[in-house]
Amino acid sequence: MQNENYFRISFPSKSVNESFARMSVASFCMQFDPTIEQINDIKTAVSEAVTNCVVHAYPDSCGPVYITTRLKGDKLTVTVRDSGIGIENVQQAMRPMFTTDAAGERAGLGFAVMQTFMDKIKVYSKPGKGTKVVMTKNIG
Amino acid sequence: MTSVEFSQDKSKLTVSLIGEIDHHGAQRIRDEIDRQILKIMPGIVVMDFSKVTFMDSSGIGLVLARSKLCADCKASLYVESVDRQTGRILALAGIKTIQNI
Repeated sequence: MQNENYFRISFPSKSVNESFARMSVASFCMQFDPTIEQINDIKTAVSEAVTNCVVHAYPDSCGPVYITTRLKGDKLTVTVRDSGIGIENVQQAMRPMFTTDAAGERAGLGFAVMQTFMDKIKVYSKPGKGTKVVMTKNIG
Repeated sequence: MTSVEFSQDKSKLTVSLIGEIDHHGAQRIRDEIDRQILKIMPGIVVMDFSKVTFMDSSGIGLVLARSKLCADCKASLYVESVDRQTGRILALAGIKTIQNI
């Protein structure tokens, strides 16, 4: 039988939970004996996706963030979902260096990092409904 | 936890970043770094990443915004002692680092 496992967590979109989120996913992945580099890649990508929820999904409030992590064979799928304000133009949001931050503290490279460190990333979003980011990585 | 330590050698200010640099951590330390730069008005600022245990793209913003402040203060900014993972992230923004380990 193929090795299969999953876990789900949810937490409020507080920035203090960014660290908790990436550590949780990393801990779960340890059962598949990944390399240190693979674990770092996963932690970084999860951190970016969760930061987007904290900064953009609920701009002036706090709301739930849901993470589902699934391991099937050698394939890891991490889904980060929110029920926040959504993204009007996903293509534009994913463009490297695109940022809504006027203070110059955010580089606009969150999605670029996810794309670099995971094998595949898909973004589904509906204004007013929320956003779902699905990232996959082969950790065989 | 994220923190920062400063050391000064004549006109060189070394900013040692410690711990995990994510959006949460960067928020905690950026004002402290800016205050120190504006207080000392150094000629050279070195951001030392040797004690950084994790960094995401928030680190890029942290460096870029400090590089703008340094330009305004006529100081040169150097980024040093980044590990491979951190170097890969900084490279996405075209940030060159010295003394890669």
